[in-house]
Amino acid sequence: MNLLHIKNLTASIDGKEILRGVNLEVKPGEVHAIMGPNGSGKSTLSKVIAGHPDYEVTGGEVIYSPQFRPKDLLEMEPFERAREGIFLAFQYPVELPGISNELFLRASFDEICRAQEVPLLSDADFHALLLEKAKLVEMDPSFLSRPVNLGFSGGEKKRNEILQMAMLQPRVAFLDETDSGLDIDSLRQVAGGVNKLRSSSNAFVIITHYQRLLNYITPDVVHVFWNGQIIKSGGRELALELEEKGYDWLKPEAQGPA
Amino acid sequence: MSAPLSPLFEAAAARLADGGNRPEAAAALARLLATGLPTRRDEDWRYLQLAPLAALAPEAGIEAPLPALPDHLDGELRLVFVDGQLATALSSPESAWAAWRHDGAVAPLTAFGELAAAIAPAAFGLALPAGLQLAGPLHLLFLHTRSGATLSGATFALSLGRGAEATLVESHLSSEGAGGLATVAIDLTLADGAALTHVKFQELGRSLSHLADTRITSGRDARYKSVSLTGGALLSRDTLAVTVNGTGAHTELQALFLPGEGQTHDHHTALDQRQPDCTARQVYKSILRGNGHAIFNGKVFVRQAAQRTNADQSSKSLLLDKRCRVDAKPQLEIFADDVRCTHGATVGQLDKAELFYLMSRAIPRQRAEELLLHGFAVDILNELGHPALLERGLALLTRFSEA
Ligand SMILES: Nc1ncnc2c1ncn2[C@@H]1O[C@H](COP(=O)(O)OP(=O)(O)O)[C@@H](O)[C@H]1O
Ligand SMILES: [Mg+2]
Repeated sequence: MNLLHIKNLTASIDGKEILRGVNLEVKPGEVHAIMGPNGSGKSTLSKVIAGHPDYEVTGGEVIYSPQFRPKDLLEMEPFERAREGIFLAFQYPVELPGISNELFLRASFDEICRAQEVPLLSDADFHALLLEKAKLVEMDPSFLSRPVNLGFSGGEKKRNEILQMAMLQPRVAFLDETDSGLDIDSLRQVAGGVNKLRSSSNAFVIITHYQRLLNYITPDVVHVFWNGQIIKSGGRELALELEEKGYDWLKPEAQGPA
Repeated sequence: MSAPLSPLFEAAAARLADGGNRPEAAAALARLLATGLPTRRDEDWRYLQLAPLAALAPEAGIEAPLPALPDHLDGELRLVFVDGQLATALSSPESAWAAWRHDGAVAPLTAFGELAAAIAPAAFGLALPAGLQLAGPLHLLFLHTRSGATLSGATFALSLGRGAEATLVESHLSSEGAGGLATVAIDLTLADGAALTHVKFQELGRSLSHLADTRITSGRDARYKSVSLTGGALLSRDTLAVTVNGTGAHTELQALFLPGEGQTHDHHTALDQRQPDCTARQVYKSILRGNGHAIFNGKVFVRQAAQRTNADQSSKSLLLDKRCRVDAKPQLEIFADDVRCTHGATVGQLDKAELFYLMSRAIPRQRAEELLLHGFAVDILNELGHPALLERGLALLTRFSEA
């Protein structure tokens, strides 16, 4: 059974159509990679899945089936999606002045505990868990008391997204260009964090420009995103081919008559 | 004067007589009668609806049970005024403060301060001797218990001798249904090297109007820090003036004001730098809801002698509704040439990207907004210092964000 099933999804912003019929099936345990040129709509797809209010869904459906119970994802509020295990690592993480990383994660973690009907942790236990997860993504504990993302470098912000993911243990995580702007050590640490979180019950959709991340995180499927659609899907080797040849050879008009 | 007195002034004259016509009180009333109450034509009062206050016909009102006192007061030094009158039974035993007692004359800043001085049942003041370091906070509680169109006034004068240090926590609280006009005039005097942290909680009910004068005089190397949280009352006006008479003094004024539906919160400050090498910092933040109205007017005078003054002022407002209104105005008058003075005012709304980021992390909108309000206000709340005061400040903010 699919964990996430996106069917012919179309969406627009300010009346401009960005997604033009996206189809994607994600099964538990899978890692999908989405590659595609700038402006093709990859971030839009991830934000629509997370429930960003600026986008209008104009057609199609998204069935999300946590624990084999299908739900209409598009009917759910953003916070409900997150409670049910949808996670988006933002391409541009947002700064939250005056809100410490720990307070933010505590608020978020508590909501998820309540939704999943597991007991809340004591302050001490929560802090211990947070330290453990910070270690997993190789983040200095001093970042926990700082305001969320404020004054963080690009790489630190990305790592902070992975820390949040590690704390919240989502079922489906979209990672939107989490590798952009990372040096090779950070890339290795972030990928290591993802690999440690992989399990047979969750899934990842990794949006990336570079196949180098895929050297560390092995995808099951690679998709090519173009002009608001997935125009080709293949195995691991497709990423290498894209790196070598770019995207132009895949444009629908370059394919000749079907 | 031949014109008949308004009911308000007549009541004030009667209170003065009840209080034994104390000379300072009589002088205050005389000044008040000479000037009258301000109106909207006065620049410093133009945003306030004062007519209902001027037309007030004071009633004795009906006494309600005392409001619940904050639970962090246990064992701490406190003076409790009920409807303007010192309530010895609710205050710390006289033996704890009698040695510091003095006559407590104040020099009000506004007509409402004069009114407070005229009608206060007694003048009350404390003089902390040089070098005294007060261990815990000194609490000053002003409780309002009577419903109806009541009138009350209280004054308090505190002086700190050379090098003395203290924390003063001023609270304004009311019983359910308490109403009318509550005036207060406070004078704080810091001798050379003295340090005072002054926290104020204005948590009155919505039927009261609160008009407060606070006059501060600082000596050489004195440090005065004010953290004022304004949550309650229908109309709340703080007039605060600091006169810096010594070199090397530091002044810090901070406020968080939270006007909601129907409320007006007005902070007028005046900082008079008269001596060289002083520093000052002002941060006034407001969060507004419904048709709430926030007013900030910050005057800074840097006299010719006050070379190398370093003074910052900032005013920030967060508007949660379309109907709320902010009037923020800095007013710098600088006569010295070697100074560094900055000021800035910003008015904004909740950031949509921040809200979505929080909601994408499973946090419902209401809680997400609460976190953003907390993020906006936290630098002021952190200045409260004591954990119990911080908790009380957080509770005030939470009540506002849940309203
Ligand atoms: N607020 C907006 N208003 C109009 N167009 C937008 C807005 N946000 C994004 N777009 C457009 O949507 C398209 C897809 O953007 P995006 O999803 O960020 O692409 P990608 O992540 O693949 O680079 C781009 O052409 C971009 O210009
Ligand atoms: Mg993008």
